[in-house]
Amino acid sequence: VISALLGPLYLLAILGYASTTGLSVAGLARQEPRYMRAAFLAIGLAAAAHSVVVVLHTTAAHRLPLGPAADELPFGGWDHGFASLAWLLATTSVIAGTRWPRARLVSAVLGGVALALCLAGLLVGHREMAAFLPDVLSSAWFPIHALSSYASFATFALSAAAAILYLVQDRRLKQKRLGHPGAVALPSIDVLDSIGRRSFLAGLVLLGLGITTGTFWAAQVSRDAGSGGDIRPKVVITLVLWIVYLVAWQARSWLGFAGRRAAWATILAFVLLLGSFVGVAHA
Amino acid sequence: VRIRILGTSHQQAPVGVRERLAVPEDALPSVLRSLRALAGVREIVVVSTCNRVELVLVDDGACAGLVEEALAARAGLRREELSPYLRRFDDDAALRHLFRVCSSLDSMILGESQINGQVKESYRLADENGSVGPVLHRLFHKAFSVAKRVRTETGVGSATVSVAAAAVGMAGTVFEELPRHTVMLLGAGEMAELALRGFRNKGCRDLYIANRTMERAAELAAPLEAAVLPWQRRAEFLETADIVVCSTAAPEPVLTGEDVARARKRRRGRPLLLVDISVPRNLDPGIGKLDGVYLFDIDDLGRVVEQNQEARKKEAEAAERIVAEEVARFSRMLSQVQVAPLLRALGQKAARDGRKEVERTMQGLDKALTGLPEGARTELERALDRMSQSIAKRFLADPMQRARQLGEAGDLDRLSDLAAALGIDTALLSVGEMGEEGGAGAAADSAPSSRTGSGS
Repeated sequence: VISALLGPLYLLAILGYASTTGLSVAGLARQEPRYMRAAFLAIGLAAAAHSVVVVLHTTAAHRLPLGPAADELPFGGWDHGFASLAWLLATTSVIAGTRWPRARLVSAVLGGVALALCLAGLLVGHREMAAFLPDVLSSAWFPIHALSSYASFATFALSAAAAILYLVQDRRLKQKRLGHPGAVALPSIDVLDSIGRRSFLAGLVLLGLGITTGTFWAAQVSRDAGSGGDIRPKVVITLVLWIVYLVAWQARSWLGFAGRRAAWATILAFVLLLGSFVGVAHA
Repeated sequence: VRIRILGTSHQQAPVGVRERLAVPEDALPSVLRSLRALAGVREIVVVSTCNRVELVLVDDGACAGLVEEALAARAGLRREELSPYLRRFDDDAALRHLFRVCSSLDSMILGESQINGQVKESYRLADENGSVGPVLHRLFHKAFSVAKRVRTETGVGSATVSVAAAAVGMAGTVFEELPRHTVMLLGAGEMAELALRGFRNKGCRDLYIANRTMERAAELAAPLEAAVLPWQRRAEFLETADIVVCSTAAPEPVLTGEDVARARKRRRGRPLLLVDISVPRNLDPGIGKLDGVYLFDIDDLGRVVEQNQEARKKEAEAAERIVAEEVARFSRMLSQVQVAPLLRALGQKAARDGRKEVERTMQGLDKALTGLPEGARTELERALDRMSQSIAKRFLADPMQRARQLGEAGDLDRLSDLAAALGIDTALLSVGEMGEEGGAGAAADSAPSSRTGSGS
């Protein structure tokens, strides 16, 4: 029953992300706030459907759909890594949109990223992982490591989306372009700054947790395999990134490093993290 | 009966004429009484605000002259003197006018929100004084629902159209929750006062006024529970204030780029909004180039106001379509005569008469039925009941159908004849869908507003 449900529900989630993207693009192009409201509703429904997929899979497989694993679905492969990133991103967006209703544009924009991740998951979902999966992924550290790393990606993505909108809104205000009444209103500067700061901090904490638990996991895997504790490049890169982020956060909190510079730094941080995730982790 | 509106507004009459016609609340009962006493006037509501005095009447079609005479007499003018200032609307035009007034499409400031409350209050007072009947009950409730529909389905009242309100609206583009932010006003003139009220109405509690004359600042601050700040501390206070509204008559800048740049460092990245509504400008224009600092002047606010007025005009087109649609619907409904009470009374009368006949028949058969078991008697009586009801139903089918047709055609005269022929009280016939919604109670859900106000 679960196998029969997974496919349609996952497809429903993808359609929800696609609707969110379509409605957001149409809403921005036509400056129609109703479309943006519908986009938020669509990402809410998609996130709900995707959550059910995650719960069903966890119930059936007795583990979270995380890491480099994939299942076959009627319409293609379901890559757990990409799909879970999309799920966490959508869920984070919905939480942020509920907390800051005027900033739902951020959530709508992130619907597009969730869609891209799901589609990427479909493309790479056919690969064979069976040989190495069971032993490596059975460690208790793995789900904590993977979940916190993915969640950090989602919160950094939210932070970057807020930063992009901050730059757009800042530019509009500086140019005295205040928008027409009844058009799609950009969120206020301070709420975008607030989302950026809070999600950056959350990302920092989650990434720290991911690195720590990842270290324990790697040590356990090495011990079980009887090999020495090699330090892999992705661990070094992620650790360096984390330290840079920590310094940036301190500068933001204590030295008043804010405004446009902080927004650009947030976007750069996300791009680097994306490179680390995609370039190193999937190499 | 006819529905009429007679009166004047800011579009026809100068304030000198309007104030002569205005009806203060304490004079309203006597004015309503005297107008109601005029021959032909059946129902009346007087709408008197600072921008309009209008009488909404239901009459028999021949009393307009008398009402004009009465109005002129009240204003201390001759009828010919008053006449050029008066507007007259009859029937559908009257419906349209009332719907437009309630929807704020006839207001001085298009889309302002006070007028609907003022009309509700006028209606409530007229109802309390017994001058509202079934037609006006229905008409006013329809007008309020049309206004609600216009507000809900169009943006005619959504955008701000005053400079002070635009300044407050501007703050919303930088700060999400205004009550959490500190506002500093530089200057204590009229614009500063309006802006201060705007921020207070938005829930801002941390309000500070800095003015060269402390007494004037204190005078302005007291009623709005704002604090007074020494003029010399204005630059230093930029560290605390998130929103600064400048409205002074100073010939030179009262805050320089250096003042703001210094404060910016101490603010640790918190954004700062400065609105300069002074002419000449009192804030150094270079301030706006600083990161995290947003500066707007009177021209920027003027553009917002202009844009909003244009937007309201566009929305008004959609609102006018709604009004036209509702006028047609209400007019159609008014032209119908409600026959449901008549049909109900007819059915009840037939049932009552049939029952009497069955009882009489049973009494007549009493001897013949002697010895019959009680159950059989009851069964017979029931059968006779069913038969009498069935005959009545068949007999009344055609008259009832005819009554419905006459009701839809609004032919009250023939309907009255039919009712009389069938022995039904003609008072049961009513025009339009009167009933459940009538009465001032339904209007009480919205709080009455002051009878004077801007724009209405």
